[in-house]
Amino acid sequence: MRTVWLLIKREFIERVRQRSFVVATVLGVLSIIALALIPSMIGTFAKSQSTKFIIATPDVATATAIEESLRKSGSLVEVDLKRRPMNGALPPDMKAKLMKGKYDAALIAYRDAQHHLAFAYYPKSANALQSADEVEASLQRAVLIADVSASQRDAVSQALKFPFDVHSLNARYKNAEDEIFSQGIVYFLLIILYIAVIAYGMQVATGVIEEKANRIMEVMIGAARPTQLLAGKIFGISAVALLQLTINAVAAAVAAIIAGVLYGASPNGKQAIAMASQMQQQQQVGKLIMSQGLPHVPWVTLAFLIVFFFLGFFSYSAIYAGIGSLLSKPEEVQQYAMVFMAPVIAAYVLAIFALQFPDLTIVVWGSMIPLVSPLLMFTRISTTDVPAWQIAVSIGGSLVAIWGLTLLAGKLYRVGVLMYGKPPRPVEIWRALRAHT
Amino acid sequence: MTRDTTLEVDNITKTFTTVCAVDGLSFTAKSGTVFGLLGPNGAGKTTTIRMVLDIIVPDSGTVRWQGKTVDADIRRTFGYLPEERGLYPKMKVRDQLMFLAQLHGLSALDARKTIEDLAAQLNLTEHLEKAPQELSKGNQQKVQFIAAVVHAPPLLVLDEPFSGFDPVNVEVVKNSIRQLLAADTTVLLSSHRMEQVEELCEDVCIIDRSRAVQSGSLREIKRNWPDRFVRMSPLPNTDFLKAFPGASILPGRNGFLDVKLPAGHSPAELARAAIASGPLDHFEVVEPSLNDIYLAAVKPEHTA
Repeated sequence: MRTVWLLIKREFIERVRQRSFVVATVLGVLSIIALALIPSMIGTFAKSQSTKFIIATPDVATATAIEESLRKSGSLVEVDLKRRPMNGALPPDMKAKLMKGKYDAALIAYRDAQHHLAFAYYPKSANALQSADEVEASLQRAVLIADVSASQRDAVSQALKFPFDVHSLNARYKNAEDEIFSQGIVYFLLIILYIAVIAYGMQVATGVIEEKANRIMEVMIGAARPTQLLAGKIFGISAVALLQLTINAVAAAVAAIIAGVLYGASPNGKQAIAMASQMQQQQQVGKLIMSQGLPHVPWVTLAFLIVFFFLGFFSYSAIYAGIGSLLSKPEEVQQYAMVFMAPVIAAYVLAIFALQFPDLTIVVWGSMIPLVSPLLMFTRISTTDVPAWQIAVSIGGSLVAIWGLTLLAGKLYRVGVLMYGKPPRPVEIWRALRAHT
Repeated sequence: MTRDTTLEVDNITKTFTTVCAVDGLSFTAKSGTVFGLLGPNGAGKTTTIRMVLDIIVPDSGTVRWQGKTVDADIRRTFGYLPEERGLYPKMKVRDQLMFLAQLHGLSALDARKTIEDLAAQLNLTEHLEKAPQELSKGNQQKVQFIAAVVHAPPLLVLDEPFSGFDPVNVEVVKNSIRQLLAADTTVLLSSHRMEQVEELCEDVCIIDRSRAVQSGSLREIKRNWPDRFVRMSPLPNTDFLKAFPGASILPGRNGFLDVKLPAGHSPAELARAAIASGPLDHFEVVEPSLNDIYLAAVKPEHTA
């Protein structure tokens, strides 16, 4: 026990002392703080990105109705009142203004032979082109109001302002925004989980190879058992991981509070957030994460994040240590990077899938199969109600797998740490393993 | 003074896939003495050392320390200086030695004191706060040596301990080894450097092609060596040697005529024949050198 403790201590202290660790941690904190400033950036971005329309209409009433409808969706509208288009053609001077980049799109409204309202849409920016459907939808309201008689207009307008309250019966989400927010958080945490498992797992592999390459292993193997060396390496690096993740989490919490003070209270900030909220889902999620911050994440979710990080990290680092002990040079990790990463990537892709469909059979089963289960079960727990027995099977299965994988890794390690030269072929590994059992 | 047998290697065999690395090797080493393990590259020395250190498990046979089969706890007390030297390149020398000493079971307090003492003995004190990558090769070797002896091991295994040292440092290390011997340490030394083995070792084992070809007390081996080595003053004519089939002239040293006389011939007869052939003012029967024994024992196609 003292041996393992000494090994863990050395691993931890030497890694934390490295300049690379300090640099990486400082950069991590800085980028988290930068992320916290994103709402204001999104705000500015949103302003410049809202579509600017120039419209021409057959009459003033239509102009007012269209302008009102388009503004509702956050667009900037300028009406060319001098023009009364008779067809959908784009007048040359309007086209010139469009081409100069003054506007994103032109909308020509006219009345056809049957005196019905018709529109021609001339989007120029990619954004405007993409929002053609939204524009069409907004226009339905405008058409209704514009085409009724003046006396009925107010009544129709009033009727269109019908209330629409969403009373969610979904236990998790009160409204759509809540769901998007929750999924965003899970997505965000999933990425952290994925990156952390790969990054720290790879550190285990390179750590083993480095000790082999500089031959310290020859001395170490005389002083400690392979399983002790393996445990020291894995637990030492997980302590480093925990420290780094904690620093980042604290930085994120502080940054979120600062961001809340900066943007939450000021009118500018509110406007920025309001602007940003009309943007795409991801930006919205980013804004929400940052404005509401990590404190908004349920503690249970964070606790599961830690639990499944360690389950994932321990499973993979045992494998990585085993593979690492068969290689001789740190450069070889690059060559075998795909071998290292493939199972994590597969689990990640499945988890992204699970984010949308947490109750699919394949996802349910996958969340109980070791190696893919940490990412999948975390996703499921965060997005749907998971029966307790499934969580137990998932965690228990992972623990059994970790035990088995560590035993296997210990054997590979024992065989591998004294093997130099070309990476052995599978047959040779098998023979060596059998020779040692 | 008779010494206690401490290390017993009993009929160990190890086969890797299809290659037999060590085949039925046995030897014993005594406390307070150096046991020399000799042999060409690839003969099985390192495999033997690894089996002694319980890094590799023998297919058959046992390694015993003071009568007990070597296990992880016993092995942990051993000191090992591997042929391929290895240190953490960026970890401070002092931290590194502290770590290894504690790993071998020393308390932090004892470790600190021993490191100071050994560093002073090997003129390394000023380098304790540096990382190995900042040190010269010779100093790195010294650090490695301290790492092997810091926990006062009862058995010290040295694999090519003098490679990379200049003559002054070779003496410094030899002196350290002598001090350890005075404290009843058993030393197992593997080397190609015959003169150093000859100087330090009481017992040797010469391995060739996985098997022991000579084993036992160096003095006994020399005494019982069938070939006689004769050193005489140079003679104008060496035709008298033809009467001694198998006798050969060795590359001369210091102007002497060195002759190897195979078993079955008496040196006295050779002396008579030599006197008959010309004026002889020096004739001496010398013990075979370890080098002579080694070269005779190891098949030429295997010497590297």
